[in-house]
Amino acid sequence: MKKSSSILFLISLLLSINATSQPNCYYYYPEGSRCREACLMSEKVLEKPQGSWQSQQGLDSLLVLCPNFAYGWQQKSIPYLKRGDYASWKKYLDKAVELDPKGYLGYRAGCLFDILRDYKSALSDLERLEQLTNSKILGMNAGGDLDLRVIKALCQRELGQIQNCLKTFEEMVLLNEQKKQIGIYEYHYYGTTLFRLKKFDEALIMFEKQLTQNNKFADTHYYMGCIYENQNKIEVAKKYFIEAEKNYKLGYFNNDAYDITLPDQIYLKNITNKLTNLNK
Amino acid sequence: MKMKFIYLLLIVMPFSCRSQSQDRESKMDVGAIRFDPKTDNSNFFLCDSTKIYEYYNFETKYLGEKVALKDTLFYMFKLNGTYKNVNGIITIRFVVNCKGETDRFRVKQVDTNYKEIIFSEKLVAHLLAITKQLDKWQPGKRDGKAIDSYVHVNYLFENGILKHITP
Repeated sequence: MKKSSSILFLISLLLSINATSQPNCYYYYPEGSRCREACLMSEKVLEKPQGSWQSQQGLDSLLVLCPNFAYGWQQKSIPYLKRGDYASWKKYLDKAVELDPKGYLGYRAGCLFDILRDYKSALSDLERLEQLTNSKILGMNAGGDLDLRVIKALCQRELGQIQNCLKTFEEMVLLNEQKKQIGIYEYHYYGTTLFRLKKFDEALIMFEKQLTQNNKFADTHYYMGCIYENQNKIEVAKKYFIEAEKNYKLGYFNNDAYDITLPDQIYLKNITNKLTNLNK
Repeated sequence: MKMKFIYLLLIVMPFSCRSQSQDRESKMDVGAIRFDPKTDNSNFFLCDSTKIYEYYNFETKYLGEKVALKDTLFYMFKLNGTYKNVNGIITIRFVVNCKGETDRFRVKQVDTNYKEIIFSEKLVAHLLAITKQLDKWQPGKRDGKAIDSYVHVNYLFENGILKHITP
């Protein structure tokens, strides 16, 4: 989501416990220890461009100093993920997860889910995280914009575990509504899942709620248009598709900084095709 | 004496070359692709050979958004189900130059456990061929100037079926 959600996005960032951020070296590692030294070194090393040989060699040096520095392994893994070397990525990130499962299982699940479409492994990581933390609340993804329970529900959906998926969404939305901490995509993805299951009336309720969060979100307008089209309410459908097209062109749509295709993502082509067909 | 010196030189030289090559390798950024005269086009133009960005740095994209790229590739892929034992990811990484042309294609393959593997040569050759046919790249721009960048396409297979194309 490009523009209007920026405030909500910031709030969700603040609310999230981002376990993958730079650890507090003074809190986590004893004074005079090699690991505190490595941790402090990482601040300087990571000023170098990500994935550059200088940065990777710097990380190697501090991991020699403190091989148990999970954050260092995770940082070393990131450029491999972004540049399509998944064998190296997995090797290094697995080290971080092994050293600090609570800190990195959720992060790994997010990567497995969106880039690698490995729903089984992502779900397994999230279920393990639940067990370790003894909590259904899993935190946010690395981008800070998506509750990991959404990822869990979408993994369940993709694996055909529909009842589990709906339960995950239902529990998450209920809890977040009680806490008044609804995230920027929760209603939307619950809605698209109900839409896929052809539970159109229930999906509409979620999409209406989503529009109270962000009334310019093109993706939601698009799916609402699809429902009305399905119900043969053509004029209403058109209204939503026109709104979707307008907002998409203004930049209010679901997108990703790394151009990763997101779940249930729509493109301008999808909207214009609908409008063309309805105007025939 | 002269012969001894030549012998010594012959002994030392291979180590020196190896160390230079190791040094060169260790000073490569993650994912950097070095020109290989055996496979790459020597006439492939780079606006700045000293700096090839990543596609996400300055939004190098495909015309018609990601959906156009995927639709084109799914349409061109003709080997669905031919190699039933293929489970994993075939990644093709390459350079999109400042003119939107492509070259320096490299392939990585992993199984479902993310271990390196070698799938069917014919399948890989087909994926390379269709990836090379993509011709609507729009190079990203830095300060208004088109840049060269690395791009990759992941082909995700399940039992030989092309299930997803990411990122």
